[in-house]
Amino acid sequence: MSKESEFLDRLKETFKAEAEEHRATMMAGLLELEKGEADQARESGIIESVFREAHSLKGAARAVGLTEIERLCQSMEEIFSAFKKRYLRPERDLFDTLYRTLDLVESLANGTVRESDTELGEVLGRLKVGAVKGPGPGDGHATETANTKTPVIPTNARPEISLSETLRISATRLRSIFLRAEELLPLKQVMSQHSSDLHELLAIQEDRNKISGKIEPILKKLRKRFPDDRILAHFLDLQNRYLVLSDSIRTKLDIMGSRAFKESLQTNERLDSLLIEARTALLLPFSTLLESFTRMVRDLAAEAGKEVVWTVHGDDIQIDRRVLEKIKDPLVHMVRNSISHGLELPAEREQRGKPRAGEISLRIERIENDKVELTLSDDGVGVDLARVKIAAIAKNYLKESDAPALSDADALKLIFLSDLSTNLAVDSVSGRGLGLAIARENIENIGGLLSVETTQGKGTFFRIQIPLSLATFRGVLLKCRNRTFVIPTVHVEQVLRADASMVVMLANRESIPINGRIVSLGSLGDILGLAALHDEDASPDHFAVVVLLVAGNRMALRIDGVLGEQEVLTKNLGRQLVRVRNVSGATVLVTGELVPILNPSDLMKSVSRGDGSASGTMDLTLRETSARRILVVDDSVTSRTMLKSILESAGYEVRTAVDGSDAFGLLRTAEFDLLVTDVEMPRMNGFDLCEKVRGSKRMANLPVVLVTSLDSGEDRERASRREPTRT
Amino acid sequence: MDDRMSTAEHTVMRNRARKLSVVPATDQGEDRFLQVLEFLLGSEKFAMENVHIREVTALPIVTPLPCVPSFIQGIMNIRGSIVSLLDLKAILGLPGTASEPGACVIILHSPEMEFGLLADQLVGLVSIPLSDIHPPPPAAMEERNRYLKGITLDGLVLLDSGKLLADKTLVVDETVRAPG
Repeated sequence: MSKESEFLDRLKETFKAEAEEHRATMMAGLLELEKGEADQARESGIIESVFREAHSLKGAARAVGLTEIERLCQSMEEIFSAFKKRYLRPERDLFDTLYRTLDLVESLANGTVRESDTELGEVLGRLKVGAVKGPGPGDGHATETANTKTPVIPTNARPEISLSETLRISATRLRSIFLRAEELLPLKQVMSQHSSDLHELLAIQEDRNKISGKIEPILKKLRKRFPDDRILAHFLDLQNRYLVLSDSIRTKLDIMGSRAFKESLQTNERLDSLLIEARTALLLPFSTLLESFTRMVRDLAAEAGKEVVWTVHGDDIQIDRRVLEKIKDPLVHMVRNSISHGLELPAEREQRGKPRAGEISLRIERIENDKVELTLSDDGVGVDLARVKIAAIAKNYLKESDAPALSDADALKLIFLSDLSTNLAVDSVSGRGLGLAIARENIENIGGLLSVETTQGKGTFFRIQIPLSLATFRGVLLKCRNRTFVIPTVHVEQVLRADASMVVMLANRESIPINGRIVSLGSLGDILGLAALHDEDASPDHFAVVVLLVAGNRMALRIDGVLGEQEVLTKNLGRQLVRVRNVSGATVLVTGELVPILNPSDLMKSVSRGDGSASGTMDLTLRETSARRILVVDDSVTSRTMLKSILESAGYEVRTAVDGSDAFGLLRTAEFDLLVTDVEMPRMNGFDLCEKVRGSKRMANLPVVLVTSLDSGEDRERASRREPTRT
Repeated sequence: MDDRMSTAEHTVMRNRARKLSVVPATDQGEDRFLQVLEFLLGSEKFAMENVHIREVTALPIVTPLPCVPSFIQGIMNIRGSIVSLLDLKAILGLPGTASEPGACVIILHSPEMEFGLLADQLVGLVSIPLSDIHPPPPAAMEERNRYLKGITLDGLVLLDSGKLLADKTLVVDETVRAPG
C-alpha cells in the first residue's frame, strides 16, 4: 500500500471518530429540544450548539472528500439556522427527519452505506422540505444581521440545482461510455479510406472512358471501310451501349466520391467533437488530487522536524482523470523528496539567512494545446552533486576516475538512477531513493517528461510535462518475427537500415555506432522471447534497427521492419494483466486487430540485463534471485505432480511440461535455472530435448537433470554423455 | 432514535446476502438442482456455476502477448475493453491447448477481476441435482484440485469460478529489475 493511501486511510479513521463526536452531541441536543422541557435560554443554547456541530462536521467532511456528508450537514445547518432565527418551529416530523439524517451520516462515515443509496436522496429531499417551511432567503436578510452573533453562514452557498439538470453517474459507467466512443475513432480512417478508394475508382473509370473515346474514331473508320459488315454493325451497337453505361458509372462514381468525401469530413468532425465531449466528462481539476496534499505536507514536515509553507497555483486546471491517477504517485514522491532531502532544518535555514520555514510550491500551467506543465520547486539546499557522485561511485554507476570530469548536468541525471540516495539516513519519508527512477518511469509511460534543475544552496526545480489526456499518442508500428507492435514515437529517435559489418563487440555485447555514438544492440524478438521464425536468417547482411531514447539513454533494437506511424489509443491490458514485462498496453488498429504497445523503459532495462543480447552470455547474478525456477518435464501426470510438489515445498518455483517439445517451447519463452526431465516421452524425448538445449546458445549452460526409471546400461551411458553439467 | 427503517433494510440485506451466499438451487419437486454451464476440455466434461459468468462468446481474434506466462493465450477486444484469455487446460494441468473449431470463451467476472477462459466446446446450461454432486477425491487430480468444487458420478467436474477469480497466482504483475 502506498504511503499516500495509508495516509488517506488514517485520515478517514480520524474523521470517523470526529464525526461520531459531532453526531452524538447533535443527537443529544435534538433529543432535549424535542422533549420541549428546556427554557428559552437553554433552547437557544442547544440550537446554537447543534448549529455549530453541523457546521464543524461539514468542514471535516469536506476535508476528506465525503461530499454526501457535507451536503447533509449543509442542509441540517440550514434548518438549524432557521430554528435560530425562529422562522421554523421544531416539530415532530422534522425531528424524525433529522434523526434519520444523523443515522445516515453515521452510516456514511463508517462506510456501511454507499453514496449512491437512494435513501440519501430521499432524506435530502425531506430536509429540503423542512427548510423551505421557513421564509425564503430574500425575506430573511434584514433580521439576519440583527440577531446573529456567530459568523453568518450563507444558507445558499451553493446554487440550487434542480434534479433534472444533474445526474449522478458512476465513473465506471462513464468510462465505458467513453470507451465505446473511443472505439469509433478508427471509423475516421475507414471513412477517409472509402473516400479515397472511390476517387481512385473514378480516376480509373475516367482513364477507361478516355480509351473508349480513342476507340470510337477507329470504329468509325472501320464502319466506313466495311459499311455492310453485319458483325461490325452489331459490335458498334454494343460499343455504343457500353459507352452509355460507362458514362453512367462515371457519373455515379463522381457523385459517390464527393458524397463520401463530404461524409468523411462530417464524420471526422462529429467524432472529434464526440470524443472531446466524452473526454471533458472525464476531466477533473488538479485540486481533487491536491486537496490531500496540504495535510500530507504538514504531517511530513512535522515528522521531519521542518517548517514548510506549501503553495499551489493553477489547481483549477482540468485534466483527464486517468492522467491524474498516474501522476499522483510520482508527485507524492517528489513532494516527500523535497521535504526530506530538499529543505533544511529551521535552525540551519536561519544560519544561512533564509526564513525558518521552507517554501515548496507547485505551479500548474497549460502549455501548448494539449499539455500541462507542473513545476515543483523548493528553496532548500539543492542537490549536492558531490554527494551524488560519491553515491554513484559507491553503487558502481560511475568510475571514480571519471567523476571530476563529469559535467553538472550529467551528474544531476544520476539522481534518476534507481537505488541512489544521497540522504545517508534512510528515512520513512523518502524511502530509499528508488522513487525518483520510478517517478520518471511513470511519467514517461504516459508520454510525459520529467526534468530537474538545481542551484546549490538555493533550491531545486522539478519540471513535469504531461499530456492533458491519455487518449491518443503517436506510435511507430513495427514488425518483429511476424508480430506487430507499437512503440511510442516520443521514444523513437530514428529507424535505420544497418549493415552487419557495423556491429562491433564491446564488453561481450553487440554494439553499433549511430551518429558517432556507440549504442548497444539487442534483438527485440529475443528480448520479448518470441520464437525465431523457421526461415529467419540468423546473421543477415542488412537488418532494420530502431533506436530508442529513454531517459537520456539510447539503445538499438533489431526488428524486421517498420510499417508506419499513426495515432494510437492506449488501452490497458485488463485486470488480470496488472503489469506485463516490456508491454505497457495495447491499441486497436483500423482492421480491428489488437496490437501490444511496448514499454521503452522496460526494454531498456531488459537490454542492460542482457535478455536480448546476441552474445548469449547470461550472467546469472543479474537475474532476480527471489526463487530459483525449475522446469519439470514428464509425460506422467503422477510423476510430474510429485516432482512439482516436492520441489515447490523446497522453495523452488516450478513449471511443468508434458513432453520435450512442450518443454522446449517453454524454455524459449521463459527463464529457468534448472531443467528436470524424464527420458521416455512422446513427441520429443529427454535426450533429444537435452541435445536441443545444448545446441542453443542461450540455454547451453542450463543445468539438466535426467530422471529415468529405465535400467538399461545403454541409457545410463547415453545420459552421462549428454549431460555435461552434473548437478 | 428512529432507526427502524434502516434496521429493517439491514435485515432485508442480510437475508438477501445469506440467500446469495448459498448455492443457488431451484426447488424442483423433492430434489434441489444446481444451474451450471457445462463445457468440454478435450473429452472431459467440466462445469461452472453461473454466478461469475459474465458472458460466453465464440472465440474472437486473440492477440498473443510476449513476456507472459504460458497459460495466457493473449488478449481480446470485448466491446472496447481488453480482456485477457487464459488457457484453462494449462491452468488445470491438462495436456494440449484448445483452439480447435468450436472453441469458445467463457468470461468470468468479479468486482476485482475479469478474464476469459478458453474451452474446447460449449455443452450448455444444465441443472444437476445437488445430491449428485460429491466432494472431489483427495489429491486425485493434481493442479485442478485447487479449483475443484465437486464431481458427479458421470464424470462432470464442477469448478469453483470464485476461486479462479480470487487466485492471486494467476495475476500477472511483473517488472523488469534493473541490473546490479
